[in-house]
Amino acid sequence: MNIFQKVTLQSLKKNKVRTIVTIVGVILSAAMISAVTTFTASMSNYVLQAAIASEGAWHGYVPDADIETTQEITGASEVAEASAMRHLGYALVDGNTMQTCPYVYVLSSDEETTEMLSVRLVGGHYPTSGDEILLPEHLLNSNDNTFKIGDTITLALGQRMVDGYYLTQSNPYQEEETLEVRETRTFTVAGIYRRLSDRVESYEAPGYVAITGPDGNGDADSRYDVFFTMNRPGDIYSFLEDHALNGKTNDRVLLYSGATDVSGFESALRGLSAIVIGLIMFGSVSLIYNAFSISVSERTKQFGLLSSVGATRKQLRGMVLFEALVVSVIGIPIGILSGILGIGVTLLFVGDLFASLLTGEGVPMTLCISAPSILVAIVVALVTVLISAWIPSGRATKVTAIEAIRQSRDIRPDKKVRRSSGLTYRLFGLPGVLASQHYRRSRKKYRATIFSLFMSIVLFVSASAFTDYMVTMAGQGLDVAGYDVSMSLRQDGLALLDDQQLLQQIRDMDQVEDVAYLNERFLSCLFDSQDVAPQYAQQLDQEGTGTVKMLLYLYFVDDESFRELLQQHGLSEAEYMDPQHPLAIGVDGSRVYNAETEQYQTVELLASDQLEFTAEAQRDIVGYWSDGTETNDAGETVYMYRNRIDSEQVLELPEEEAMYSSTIRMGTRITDWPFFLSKSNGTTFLLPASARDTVFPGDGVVYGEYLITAEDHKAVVQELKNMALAQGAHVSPYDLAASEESDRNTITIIRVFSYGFVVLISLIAAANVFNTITTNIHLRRREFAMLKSVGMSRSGFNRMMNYECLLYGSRALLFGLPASLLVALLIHRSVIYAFDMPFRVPWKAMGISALSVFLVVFVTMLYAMSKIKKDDPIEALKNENT
Amino acid sequence: MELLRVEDLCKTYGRGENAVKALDHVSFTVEKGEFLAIIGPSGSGKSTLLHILGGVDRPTGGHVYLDGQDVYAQNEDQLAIFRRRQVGLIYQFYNLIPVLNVVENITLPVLMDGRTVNQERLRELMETLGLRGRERHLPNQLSGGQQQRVSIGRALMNAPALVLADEPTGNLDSKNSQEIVELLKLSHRKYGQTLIVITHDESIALQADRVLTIEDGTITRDEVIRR
Repeated sequence: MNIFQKVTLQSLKKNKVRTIVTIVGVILSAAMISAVTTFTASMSNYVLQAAIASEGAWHGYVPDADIETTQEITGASEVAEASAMRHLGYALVDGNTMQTCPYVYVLSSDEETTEMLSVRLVGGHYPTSGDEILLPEHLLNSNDNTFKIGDTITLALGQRMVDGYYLTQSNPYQEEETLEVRETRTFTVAGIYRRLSDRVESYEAPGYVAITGPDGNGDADSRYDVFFTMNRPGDIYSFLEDHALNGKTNDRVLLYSGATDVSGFESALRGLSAIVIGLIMFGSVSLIYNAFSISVSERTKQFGLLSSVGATRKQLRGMVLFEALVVSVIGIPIGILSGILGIGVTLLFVGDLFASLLTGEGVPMTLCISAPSILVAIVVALVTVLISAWIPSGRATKVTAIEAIRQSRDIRPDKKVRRSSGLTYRLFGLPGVLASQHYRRSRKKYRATIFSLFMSIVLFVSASAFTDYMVTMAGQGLDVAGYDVSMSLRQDGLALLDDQQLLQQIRDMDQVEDVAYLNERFLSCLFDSQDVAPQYAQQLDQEGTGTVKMLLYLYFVDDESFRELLQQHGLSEAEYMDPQHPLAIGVDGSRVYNAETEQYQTVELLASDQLEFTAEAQRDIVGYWSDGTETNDAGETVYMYRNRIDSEQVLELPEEEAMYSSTIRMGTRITDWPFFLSKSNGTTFLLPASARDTVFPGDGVVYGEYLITAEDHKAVVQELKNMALAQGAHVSPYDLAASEESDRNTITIIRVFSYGFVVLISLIAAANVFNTITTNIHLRRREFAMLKSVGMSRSGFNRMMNYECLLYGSRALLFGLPASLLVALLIHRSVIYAFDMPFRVPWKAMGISALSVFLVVFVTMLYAMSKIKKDDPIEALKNENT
Repeated sequence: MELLRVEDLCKTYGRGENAVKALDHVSFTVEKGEFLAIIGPSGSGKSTLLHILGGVDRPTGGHVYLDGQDVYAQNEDQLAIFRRRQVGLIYQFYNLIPVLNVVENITLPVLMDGRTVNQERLRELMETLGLRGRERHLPNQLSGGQQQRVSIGRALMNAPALVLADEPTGNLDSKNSQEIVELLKLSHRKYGQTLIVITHDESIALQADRVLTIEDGTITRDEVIRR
């Protein structure tokens, strides 16, 4: 160790508090940086794991390979792992109702392959031998035959043949094909597994994939499905090409393995982390820079002495950089470890929330520590510290020896003569004037403190605003409806499903608690003004016609559900469900977002509990869709309907045929919403389905919606799909419960991470302020001693310090609050593209930051002054030269 | 033989109305091995002159030649090395590095040069300065006189041609003052060094070979006391 390094180390030891604060700053910044890089790595790993869970870990898949090809792949040096499933053949199963998929397709597999394919059991165990078999869940769901675990199943296995050629899974079922049975075997059902990804078993495949355990070796004619992973995922494409293999690639997994070009997600993730790292670097540079800058100015004299006895600039600069290195060596490893620990602990608690977020696979987000993420963190942290040290080190070497000895550079009087205001004198007396003069004279030193306070105000307020918007966005539409799953069905004459039969089927499902079937009609309603709540009547009937026109929903509810609703409210079935004169139920008190008050509010639109109104609706015609209106040659308005299959085929209906007008009588008004309605729909009228013909005679039902409550909503969604599939149709039920759950998880995740970020940034700022204020006061010991020696009282001191605190705080707020408002405004502008909401002034965050600023400043000042108060003025005055 | 030549040396602080002439066309020469005392009232420019001679401060005009070399023709780094090797500076307030011990403070110029310390010379110096047994002490564990002896040690360690002392006894009592002066004289004789001392103390000045008096930045008297 050379003499400069020794001096540096000794000085660091001597100024313990400042050294510790500097190291804490480095720890904080390294912790935040490593938290971001670790989180990014964990996030990347999470999407990869989610992709693997749904698609399997394989990179390449070669179906229907012969033994040579299989061996070629297995033995290739580029291939990391390979496993093959031997084809046992196709077999017809009893009771299979699926026309296009009449077979089971039996493959023999070992544990390795099931793992590589991410085969997930719904029940039972993995087959351990060739006598046991796994059946796919969707086979059972779409089959009249119910297999149970432990049942035996006898299969006549063979090859599908057409014109002497055998067919594979990639050839859809053909009417003319035959099955050439080779052997008949009996299997025990070991378990049920969830359907494989469609890259392995496509929707067109003619056989349900059933998996047996290891089943001896095949013969020379055996065919295999080969799944394999590469040593370098990116090699898969050239591998398939080079070996002339007709294979598939697992694109999603390859994407997240970094095999293909950086994905949109990945680049967004990286971009976001770069921005956050940038912010952290900015915040930490200002802290660490301050620490070094103070260290340098405190040691100006030391540098001067060294310079006067012959130290060169390079040597002095080396000292500062060595100091940076020492601080880094201690701070960065601790920081990186604590960052990883922080993310680890956070993920321990919120990791499971991710399970429902990206995929339905239930993959939690776990901590992933990767070498690059740690390396990036180390480099970024080191660069941060070095930048912070380099700038002040330059200043240290610019000071000439004589300036350093005299310490004449630190306070230079302004050319302008400045006067403190009379107000300062009146409020704070001479101490106040002294404080304000001091502030004015050594602006540069104070700038650091004010800048870091400013930064933390801006970051705190903008992060809060950002969180607020995100939470509002994610929280949109939460708790507005009582149902868990909705499924819509177009009934246009082409549909394969019978709506009433489907309703019964859903009602019969085990997991379903309640279901309602609705047909909606959008009405133009004409109310008497007195039936409408006065504030809305006034607004909508400005001309004073005594009537109010509004667009509202009418739902025809299936009779059973309607009956239940009547019972709940003690209403008479005979009255309300009278086929000739049905009565409607009005559901009022919808939840509406008010842009002015920025809150949801309950709107009760109707003033009367019973009323009659005229409703107009456009006719629906089965097999056609409405395409607006046109004016025909005779100058009349005609309503256009286009055929759903052949859009050239157009019906033109005159107004009297296209529009219905009907009088609707409302028997009661309720404000507790039935489970099947969404509160955000606005005031709604309900009528029984059986009254449809009375109200709108001859209207076609083209669109219906099933609304279901169920504890196990996921199972219901799956069952609905399977049920539709069994009838040859495809439906996409909407799992509202799952999406609400994921919205809630999103909110929690946003809160955890943004508040974590805010807390860390605030800590950095607090450390920064502490560092600058304590050092500034320390450097002014002589000044204080002098003031003491000329008779300034303790209360005078306190007044001076309080005034300085006020100066710091108010300056920081003066710049910080407007700037943070501006940032909040910018955030709002970028958010409204996704979701329209009014700008909110983040009063709460601004209030908190204002309070915290003064708190931090005053506490630090108190701490620093308590250290100084013990000083003996004579000692301090003499102190200059030791 | 001439060691130091000062030609037309000027130093002005500030500009325009505020300009203060600390040194105003000062010229003189110093022979090798000479003991020169500089006296003058406060603010007369003594310290400025000494700092310029030591390569610490830059003049606004004129030249300083040491051993025929123009000191201020050098760049900052060369000047630093000049300070390290050619001159020894002793200040009134010792200016020791508080975190280094006695030996480290004394050997600082050698260590900065990256050279190994001549242990024999160090031992001899410690002996001469009466600092034996205090090698590991930090400056704040020493008396004022002892601290000044450490700073003399630091100035002499590299055996510089020129030793400059700025009020070396200004902060000491009379007993310690006399001891320090004796030490300076001893090293001056022993090592044949050229010694320039700034002082207020007439009794010290009278022990020099020659006394320069400075008033308002100019030399007003140049008296040879003994030859």
